[in-house]
Amino acid sequence: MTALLATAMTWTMTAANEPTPRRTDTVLLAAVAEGDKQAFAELYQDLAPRLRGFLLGRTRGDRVQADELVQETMLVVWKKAGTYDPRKAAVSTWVFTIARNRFIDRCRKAMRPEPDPDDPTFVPAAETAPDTSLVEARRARRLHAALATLPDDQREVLIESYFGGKPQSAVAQDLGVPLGTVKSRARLAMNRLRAALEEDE
Amino acid sequence: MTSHHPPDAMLLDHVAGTLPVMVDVLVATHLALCPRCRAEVAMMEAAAGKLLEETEAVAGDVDAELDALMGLLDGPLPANTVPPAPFANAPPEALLPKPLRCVVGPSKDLAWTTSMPGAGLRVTLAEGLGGIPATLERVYPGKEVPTHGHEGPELTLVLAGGYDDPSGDYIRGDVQVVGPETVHSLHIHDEGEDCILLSIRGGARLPKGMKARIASWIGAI
Repeated sequence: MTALLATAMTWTMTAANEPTPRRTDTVLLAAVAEGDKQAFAELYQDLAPRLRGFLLGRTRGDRVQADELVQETMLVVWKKAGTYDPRKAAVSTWVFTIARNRFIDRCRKAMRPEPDPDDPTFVPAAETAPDTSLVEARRARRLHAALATLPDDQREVLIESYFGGKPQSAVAQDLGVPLGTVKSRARLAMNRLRAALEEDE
Repeated sequence: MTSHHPPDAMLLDHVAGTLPVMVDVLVATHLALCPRCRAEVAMMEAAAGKLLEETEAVAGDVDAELDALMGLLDGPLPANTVPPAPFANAPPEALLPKPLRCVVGPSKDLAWTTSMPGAGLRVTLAEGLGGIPATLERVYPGKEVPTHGHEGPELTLVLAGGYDDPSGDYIRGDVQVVGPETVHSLHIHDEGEDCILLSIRGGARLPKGMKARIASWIGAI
């Protein structure tokens, strides 16, 4: 009886001490779109340290530039939160593209041209399965599972490309393998991710 | 069978943002015309996002950073330090997709000059690859670009008309990537429409045979 009571008490205490469940980035970003600065602060604490890690890689360890880019990226997140579409991409993916574009713009003489879906020349995709957050979440889970099981050498090529900011030729040099090997690792990695996405579709 | 699309490694470099500017423009232009490669790029970006979640966090002084940031939220975005592309405001048109139009301007203003008398015209662009400017090539229907090899890689994007070579048939939106080992001649489709190509070369074209050598003397290939 005492043991049972103790167990019950422990359970109650744990429940009482548990912090309010953390809001996911998607929920936070939706609140940010409504102008919620508290949500923005939470999102910042969640995203900024990893963004800084990413941008330190791209700026070759330049902390001042990396910090400026983190700030710029998060300001764009604040301003453009309303345009984020959870059916299209995860928050981390959206934020990655913003940070990458801010970095590229800094390196270049002119802004990076991008395809514009409203341009008359733009060839739209054929209508496929409905784009719902549920479908996106399922695809994301499959992609994450495939990423988690990528062989180390393939994963390394992706990480070096995205975060080292190195073109495939430089990745090859760094890893000490021929360019053809890096290209085929990239291709194999993409084949695996693609195969995971195409399951049950 | 060649793919008619940029290779995975090139799309990956596009996603990472590490391609030379003009190659990046070629890929972005292809993306405007190719839903399949846009889906590939979306997948690569999703992978990058997931890997970003797993990347090593580098802590900062959150309170100080947030103090500074909160003061900026109600202001305008910090001005981008780079100017927009030279023709970012060129009006929409049917031939040039926006990424390319931003860089070369409206197609009606292109200054074509003869490259192959009676067979083709060319515009030399400001940017290129490894010091060799990219070009727009306009070859008349039914004509041929004589047999040539390549000193370096060559990237071609078809914007209008089409051509075939031993590897296949290329039409609007298709990309052909050839390495130094490829020797080919291009046969322009004979269907009334000029074939317009964006061509980026990492090395000179090497003429093969007398016809091509003569063409190279006049700068045609």
